[in-house]
Amino acid sequence: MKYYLLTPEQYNLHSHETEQYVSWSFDGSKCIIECEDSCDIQDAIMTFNSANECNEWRYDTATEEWRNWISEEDFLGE
Amino acid sequence: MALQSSGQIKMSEINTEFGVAPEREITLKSASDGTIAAINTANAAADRPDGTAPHAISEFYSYNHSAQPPYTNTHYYTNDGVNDYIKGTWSGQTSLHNNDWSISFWLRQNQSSKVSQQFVDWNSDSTLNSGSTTNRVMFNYNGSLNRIMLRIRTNSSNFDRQWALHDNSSVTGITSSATGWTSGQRGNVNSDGFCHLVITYDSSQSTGTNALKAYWNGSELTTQAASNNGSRNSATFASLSLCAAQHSISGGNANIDIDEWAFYNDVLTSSEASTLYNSGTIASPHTLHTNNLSEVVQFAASNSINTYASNYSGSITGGSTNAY
Repeated sequence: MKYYLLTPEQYNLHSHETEQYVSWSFDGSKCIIECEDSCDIQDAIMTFNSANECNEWRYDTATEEWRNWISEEDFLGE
Repeated sequence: MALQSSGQIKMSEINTEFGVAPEREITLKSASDGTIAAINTANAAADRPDGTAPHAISEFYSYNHSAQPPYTNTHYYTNDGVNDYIKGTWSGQTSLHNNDWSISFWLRQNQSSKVSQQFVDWNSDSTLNSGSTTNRVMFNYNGSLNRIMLRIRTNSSNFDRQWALHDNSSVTGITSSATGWTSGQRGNVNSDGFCHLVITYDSSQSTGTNALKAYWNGSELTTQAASNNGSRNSATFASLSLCAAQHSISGGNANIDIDEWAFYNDVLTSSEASTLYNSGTIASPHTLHTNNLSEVVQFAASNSINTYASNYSGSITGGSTNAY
């Protein structure tokens, strides 16, 4: 399976590509959709070839990207 | 109900066992060779008619026409860590803050980088993505600290205990905090890459340190990293999510495989945790330890979930069940 990072506008164009639950960032400005390997979305913000790739990007502690997807309590455990 | 194991058996009793009218005409041959009803081969060979002459009444000793085949574990569940989860209504013990309980399950870590992941998450609010974090009971992995944690959070007050996996490396097999609990460092696991986890909660204890225990492959994690002793308030935890946090289903989903998730209405002992570990062979808890067993969540073909006691109505969204 492949994962695409999309804007809401891009999602509206490509929503038919997935039957899976769509993960939206907290502010709704972007989402991640999961598609079959045969799917090809050329205009995506980012493309991930696996769940691991996707999570390595969004939970990279060198960036603050994680704050868009997971609460501080759940991420930091404090 | 099985036929008796010795002595005289009436032909009418054999008919009744087969589920036909007691007065039906019957011979030993027709009973033994399957003419009356197909012989249930879930019985051990010694406990069922052999169908060959000479026929004897002793062939029917202990025969149980309703016998179920022994349980075999064939499938586990895979959650991708991005958008998959299991969610449903929990009707087992819902007052988790003031009752004793334990959970047991098998887990295979698939995340390649050190990432926080939710394994078990009860919430008092059943709404998906409700944002409600006021009342939760959660068991999770914290990637930044390389810890597992069980937290009982009621009225936003935290009662918990945390264990650093690298500080318990003799049990977990996870030595590098920098690498963390990842697919490259699964620690002590069985031949399929799964470890067995048990968490117990003794509600009579006043501190997280004394109330909560964790076992990895049947051995207790004795080195604690932190605990919180916040007040425990009344709450009803009637919604249960596995492999994700219900209040925020888009983040923190676990990139793991799980199997044989079980809930007990008591504090499992060290010996019982070891029994459930079963020397690394994954088996259903209902075949290993049934005292105070409240629920088992098992996985079968076609993304289906089977439960032991119908206390959980969870269904799979996005994830998949896979054969061993």
